[in-house]
Amino acid sequence: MIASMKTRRLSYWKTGYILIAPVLVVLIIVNLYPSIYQIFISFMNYKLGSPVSTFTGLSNYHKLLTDQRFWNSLLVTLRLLVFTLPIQLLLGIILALSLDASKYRKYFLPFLVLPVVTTPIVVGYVFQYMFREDYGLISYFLRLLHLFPGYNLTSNPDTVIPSIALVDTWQWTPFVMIVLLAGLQSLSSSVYEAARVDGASPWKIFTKITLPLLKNQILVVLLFRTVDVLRTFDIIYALTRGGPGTSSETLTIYLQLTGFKFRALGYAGAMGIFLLLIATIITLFYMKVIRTDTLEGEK
Amino acid sequence: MSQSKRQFLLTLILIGFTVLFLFPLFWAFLTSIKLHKDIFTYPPRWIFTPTLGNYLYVLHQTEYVKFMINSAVISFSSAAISVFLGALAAFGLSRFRIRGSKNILMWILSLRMIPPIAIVVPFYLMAIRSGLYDTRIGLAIVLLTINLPIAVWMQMSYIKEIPKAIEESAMIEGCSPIGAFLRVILPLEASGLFATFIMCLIFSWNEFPLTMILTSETSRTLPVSMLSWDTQRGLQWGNMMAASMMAIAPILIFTIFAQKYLVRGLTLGSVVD
Repeated sequence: MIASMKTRRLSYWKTGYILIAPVLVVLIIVNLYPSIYQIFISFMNYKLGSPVSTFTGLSNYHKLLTDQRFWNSLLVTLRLLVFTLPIQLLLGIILALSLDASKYRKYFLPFLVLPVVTTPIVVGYVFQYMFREDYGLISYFLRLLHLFPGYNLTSNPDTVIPSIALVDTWQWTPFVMIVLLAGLQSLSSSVYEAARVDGASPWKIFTKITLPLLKNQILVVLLFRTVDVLRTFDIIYALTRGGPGTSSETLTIYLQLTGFKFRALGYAGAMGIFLLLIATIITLFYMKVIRTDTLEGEK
Repeated sequence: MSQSKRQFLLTLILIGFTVLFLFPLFWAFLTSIKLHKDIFTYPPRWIFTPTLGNYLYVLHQTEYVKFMINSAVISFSSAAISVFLGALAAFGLSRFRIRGSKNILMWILSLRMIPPIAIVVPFYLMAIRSGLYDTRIGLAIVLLTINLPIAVWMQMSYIKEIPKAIEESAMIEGCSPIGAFLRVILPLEASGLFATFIMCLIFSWNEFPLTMILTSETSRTLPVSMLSWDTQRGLQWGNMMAASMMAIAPILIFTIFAQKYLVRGLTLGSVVD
């Protein structure tokens, strides 16, 4: 009896490992192995389509640090973050508050979320069509408002990043909205009533009660938006391919160009490693903030 | 302000935003049913004789149907595999003691945060060497790196909502842990399985950069095929918008019905509605 209990418990312990084994094996093959292999690639001068490659040590990394175009691509990515995160957060909060207060939210919600799931490359082309300076709809509306500058907004180095940010904002504000709405709906109304009884103004209730209680949802939104802006590729590829010049060339676009147009796979590998590092650092940073916060909440 | 006045104002605001957010899709749809001559006009034309010509051209004169089948086969198989393997792992990680399970979970989560293009160079070399370049199988495997983190984390959040006592009583009555999983957890998690499947489907269907680099003619998918309208003679907007509409229609229809799962799917279960 005791023996059978023991074997049963033993198999019970093993079961957990058997259950996670397939996922781990697959992820090691499709993610860990390629990542490690890429370190190796980044030490070689791999050329696309050429069978020979030689070990070049750290020269790809040295090149990375001295490559003006690489630093430019980092700056472009950073500018895109600055032009997207604050406005999306603001619009997302306004929308979430409006939906939370509206009796008819269930009629609006299914339509408001559609941009999030629309194929990004399609979004890019639809907006390219609307940005056209001759028959594009955005240019047309700007003309009606006497705001049209006379050129395609995506073809000018000064306006191309805000234009891409506009497309990104169109696509991702609904994401911010639904996450914050979920947060708002999980708050109990008794907190508000107590504050209202105490005579707090709506603005004070919002800044002193709502926002602090939404802190975790806001952090989750910021984490996902930051890493997703870092990976933005499709809409830029459809709109400008990094142009004019290199003024909208993000790190992802430059990596693709380097590897598959300039055929420098080894160098693109070094960029890939760099991108992996940035993404990991950003994630660790947010995780730390989110986690300490949750722990504090549990006290 | 009275309650009804407030609701009226809110409704106006929401209608405004909905119009703004739907407008580009609506305009793309209008363009897809326009004749060539109605597209290139200034000011833009709102009233015109609609035509299905663009749709017919895309379906009959190009390889669109082939690309659509590719998209469907690749995303369905990748999503199905992910949901199944993800369910096993989520069950294991949430119900059994596994050494280092916190670290494993964090590692899986971090894979969602990495831009897929950051590992496209090794993918490309591996695909060429293994003969999986430009094959549907190769692409379905590669997409697992995007789908599995979603599948594991999302289903964890669903399994955690199922009381442990239910499967424990099943095991006391003689069920093996796997038996309890199949007979008790899976049926209870059915909506989670469905939601996860939809999310994986959307992500795989929309994937562009990896697919573009890892395919050529044979297993090209719909998003990548959009590039072919970007021709030397200029963009063929009517055809392209018709192709776009047919590419996004399945996803949009799915989403209208699966909208309540979206929050959980997009945040990997960290925000639950």
